[in-house]
Amino acid sequence: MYILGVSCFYHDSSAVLLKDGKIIAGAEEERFTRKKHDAGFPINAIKYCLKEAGITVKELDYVGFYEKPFLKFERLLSQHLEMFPFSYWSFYKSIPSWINEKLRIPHLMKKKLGYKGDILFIPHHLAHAASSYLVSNFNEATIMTIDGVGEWATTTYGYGKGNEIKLEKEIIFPDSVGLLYSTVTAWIGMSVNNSEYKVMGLAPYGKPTYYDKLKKVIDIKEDGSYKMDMSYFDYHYKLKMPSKKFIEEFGSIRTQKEEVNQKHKDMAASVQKITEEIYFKILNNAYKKYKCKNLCVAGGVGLNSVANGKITKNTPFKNIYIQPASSDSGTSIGVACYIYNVILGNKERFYMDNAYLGPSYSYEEIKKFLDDNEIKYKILKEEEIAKKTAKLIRDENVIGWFQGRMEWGPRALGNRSILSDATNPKMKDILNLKVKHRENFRPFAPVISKEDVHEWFDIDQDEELFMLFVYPVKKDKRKIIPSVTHVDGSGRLQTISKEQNERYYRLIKEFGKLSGIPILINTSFNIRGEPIVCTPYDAYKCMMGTGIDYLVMGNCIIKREDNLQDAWDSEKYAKD
Amino acid sequence: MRILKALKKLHKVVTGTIINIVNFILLLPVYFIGVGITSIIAKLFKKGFLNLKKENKKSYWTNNEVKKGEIEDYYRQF
Repeated sequence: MYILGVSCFYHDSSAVLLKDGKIIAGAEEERFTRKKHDAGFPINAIKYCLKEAGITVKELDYVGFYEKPFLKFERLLSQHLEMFPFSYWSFYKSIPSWINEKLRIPHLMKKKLGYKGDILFIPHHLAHAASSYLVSNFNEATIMTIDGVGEWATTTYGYGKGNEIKLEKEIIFPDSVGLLYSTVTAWIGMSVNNSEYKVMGLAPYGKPTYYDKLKKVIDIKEDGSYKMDMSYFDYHYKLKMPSKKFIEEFGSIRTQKEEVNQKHKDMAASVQKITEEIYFKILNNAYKKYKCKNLCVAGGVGLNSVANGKITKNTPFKNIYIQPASSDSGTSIGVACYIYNVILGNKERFYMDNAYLGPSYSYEEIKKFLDDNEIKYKILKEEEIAKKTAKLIRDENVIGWFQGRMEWGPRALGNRSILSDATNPKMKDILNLKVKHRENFRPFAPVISKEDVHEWFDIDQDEELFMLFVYPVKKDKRKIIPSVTHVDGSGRLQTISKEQNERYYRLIKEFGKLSGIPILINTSFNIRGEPIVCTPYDAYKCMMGTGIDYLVMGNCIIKREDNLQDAWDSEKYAKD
Repeated sequence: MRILKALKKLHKVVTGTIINIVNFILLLPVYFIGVGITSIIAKLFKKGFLNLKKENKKSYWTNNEVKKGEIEDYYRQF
């Protein structure tokens, strides 16, 4: 039985294919179209999924969609009815896409995909909940979903047991902690639905001096429920987030020319504190009700790895599972699994313990690409790859690491990664100068083998699969790995085991033998403002447009200096 | 080739502008008559569509009404 899960038309469109309950392929549309957070119909992702399974559209048994479109449209109309006559501009901007696409999903599936079979529409937060719980290794768990907004709900909690999911309580639009975070992101002059993670990275540089003022904006109860004073916001009827009153209270919105200053850092720290407060209060309240120490989190706010890393210290939960694409892109997993396990009642569940669901390229395909384009390269034997790459990293080189299947979700987890030496105090600056051109406040993330993690990090789990938790680096180790230690002494780590990704694991181990420190910097393999690379062409283009020194693609190693005829400057074209 | 590319770009800009103008004109009566009249009547009857009022309740949680249904319930888009 084949079930296709689809999410699209808000941000981060994606598709996932289930075969007899197992996820066999999944990808975000942005990776194919090269448009970051692409919200369009994920035709390329769907085509990839079908190709991976070797089937045609006719062989799909069900297609699942990640929300109830008419309910979402009802919410949109309610906003305009409530805010008339002030919402015309937003009405004019949004209605055409609803008429042309969003209210015509079956028609679109037929037109763009040629699919004429059954389409099931799963409520958005239920899709979120399923995307985490149904692929976790828990047989029962408390579930929290928290995002900007779905149809109406913005925050929910409930319980999963066996194949059943019940979301019992909810907070509905316009009250939304996700949209509060986005409003502060917009106020700091960063892009909404994109740069929230930058605000999280900025927070440790500030003090939560605006906390009390923000408490005027949002009333938080002991049970984690909250209500926002909407006079501070415009997002319910305009195409902007903070209102005049918000600006009067907190100051003007930062312009692109303006430097990020202490005020912005303090505001980031304050909204992070508010978010954590809500997070932990909801979880403590849910625990009181369900008394279950397993927890599944989903929704865009679930990507807040700083809050995630503090859950076990601030709540009674002991075991936490968050799926790597916790935000909207991950709901395509949720709908597919919900159809298979809940609606159709199949008991056997799929445990998602790695994120490698995307396209891969064989040695022959990579070689053909390199030969056809007259790119100079060398072929390494299997046993040479880890040793040679570890040596290059130790020699201060920045490595593009392109191996196996592309990752699912926003993090590069060792198959489309840029790797470098975490022990080199200059490496953060080198990476920023050569490749990433990031804001200086943003940290880089460490990857470490599973068995070494307790020696280096104060982590209360045995592993961290998907880089969704921030943990303190042990105090005596912080100076040894300065490039991955954030200003507050933390690191957003990934652990890796041999079973998950052998080549990547061996590389880290080899680097450990050379340097005595089994930790690398792992950052996403992309040009600033572009999605993570997908194909050999994307990877080569990225290397030649940045200062990556070597590209290790399968068994082939390509040196940038040997191919300078293809060099270009990606920064000239980079977006936020 | 360059001329073709430029023409394609121009075509995109022109059609985009026409679409925007047509949408703007068509949606004006829809908004000011359709949405407007409904909104005014609703406000006369004190019917609200969004909960924007300040409240001070003990808890702001509401019950989630979504129940696990039969497969037919999921065919619906609402």
